[in-house]
Amino acid sequence: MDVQDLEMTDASQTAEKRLPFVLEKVAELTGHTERAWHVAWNPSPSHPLLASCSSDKTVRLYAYTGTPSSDLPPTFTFATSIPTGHTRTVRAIAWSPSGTSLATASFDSTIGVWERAHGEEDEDEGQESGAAGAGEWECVSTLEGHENECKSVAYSAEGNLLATSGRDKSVWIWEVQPDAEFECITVQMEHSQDVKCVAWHPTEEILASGSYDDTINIYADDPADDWYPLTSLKGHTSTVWCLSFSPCGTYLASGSDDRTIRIWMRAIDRSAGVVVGVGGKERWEPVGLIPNAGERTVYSISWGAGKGGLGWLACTGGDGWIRVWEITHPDLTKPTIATPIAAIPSAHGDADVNVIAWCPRKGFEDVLATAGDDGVASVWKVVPVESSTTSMSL
Amino acid sequence: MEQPQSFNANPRLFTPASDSYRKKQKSRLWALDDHSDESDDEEDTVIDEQEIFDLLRSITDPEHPRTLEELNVISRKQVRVRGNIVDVEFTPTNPGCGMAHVIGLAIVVRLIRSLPPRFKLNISLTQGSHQSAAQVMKQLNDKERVSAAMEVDALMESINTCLATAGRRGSYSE
Repeated sequence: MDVQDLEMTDASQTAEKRLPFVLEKVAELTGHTERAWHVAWNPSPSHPLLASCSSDKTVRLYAYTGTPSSDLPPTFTFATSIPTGHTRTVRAIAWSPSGTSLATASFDSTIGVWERAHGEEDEDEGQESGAAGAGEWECVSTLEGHENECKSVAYSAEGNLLATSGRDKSVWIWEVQPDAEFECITVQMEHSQDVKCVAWHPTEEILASGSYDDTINIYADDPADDWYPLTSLKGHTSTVWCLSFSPCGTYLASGSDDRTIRIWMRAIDRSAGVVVGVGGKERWEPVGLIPNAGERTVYSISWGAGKGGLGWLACTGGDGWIRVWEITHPDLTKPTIATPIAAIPSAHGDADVNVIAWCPRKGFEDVLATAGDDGVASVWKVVPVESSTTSMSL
Repeated sequence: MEQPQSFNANPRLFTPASDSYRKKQKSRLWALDDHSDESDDEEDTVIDEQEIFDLLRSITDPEHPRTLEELNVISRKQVRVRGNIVDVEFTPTNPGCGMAHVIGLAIVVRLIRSLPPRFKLNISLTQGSHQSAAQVMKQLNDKERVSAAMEVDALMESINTCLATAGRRGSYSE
């Protein structure tokens, strides 16, 4: 399938079309004194927290309350600010799947791992120490090894592995051991330039990385040997800034400075319904292209469960827009279809938007968070046009 | 880091443009150390090609005690403003110039510090002007690389030296 075919089939024109959903701003969380780079939702229902990080070297935590699957949006309260002690920008953050640890990736070349200080951890959140997440957070581990700026950090689905990447062109995988011990189990040097992002497969131990060298690498563990690069995906014509697997794990989306989003599919033997070539020759093939995903660099994408198809793919970037598509793939011999369902310009005023992330919790599939150069973290709810407040006022 | 040898020992000089530079409306003593944030002047400054050029023309070249305008690294016609988008093209003094990225970074830093944040920059090198033009351009337009560079004291020291004269805005009478 060549690029021309991919382009033909994708419904990518967000502009001027009446879209079925609107993005309503639910919260505007201020407090960072410099550019906000990243946000991360705590995935655990017992820790309803949203974290943001910034060039101001702090992490801010916000607690939220809301009823799953409710029409009412969640409400947010500031919980705490972690000064981190990083000496330079905190570029990225990631929660462990259990929700108890938060990892920070800093330009100071280190990774910090944070946990709520002992004694304040009460299961009855909100009883003694105020909102969830409030109180002291302490650095339980500092991972050193990257030569210079760390740019991305991600926990595997099981939480037993942590991946990090940076300007030194490397991808590190660390084993998470008891008592906040981390052991580096592999350093992958497959990229020829900065590694901007790492993303884990939603269920398996498969890692993807995107780079300033315009390529994507996918790695797997050979139980008899070391981690190895499964495949390299080429197609983007500039830096790959962001990656997101589909919730089902069969697809991978990538966003780039070339202003496109590409969608890749794990090759499956259609008659047998199994992954092709497991154990060394697994293939990922290009199956979709959104040619004009933004007017400037696509800095972030997030593929959430959404409410239909293969899920909802949200994107944002240097043009300040938020765009949401529903992804479907009705005919496996043809490209995926990206149907625009919601879009909003100037999501953070004139500022670039650096990150977008769907809330991973059940019943909150229509809630997403963004953060921008204005230092603000915002929360949005995707609302059907007919029930939105904006349409009622028409 | 070891100081590289001069990449262009005898650069060709150009007479500064005769177009009258636009002085700031407010009387203001330009300190040589130009760290002042000018965005508070936004209300009485139109941000157009002339203003952008005035902000950049008196930056000192990292190698020669000359301004970017005198070395013809930048000229008024290499600046374009469309709404909130600012395009700046510059021309290194020779295709092997090892300082191209420093000059570019000085331009970017000057604009980031001077312009209101709503402006988005596109920096380019004149076509055919440099052997690593694509590489230099990619770095300068990567905001993560730029913001990381701006946290490195040693690098910013040399950038600030280049920018110390930027406040002259084309005025050569001291």
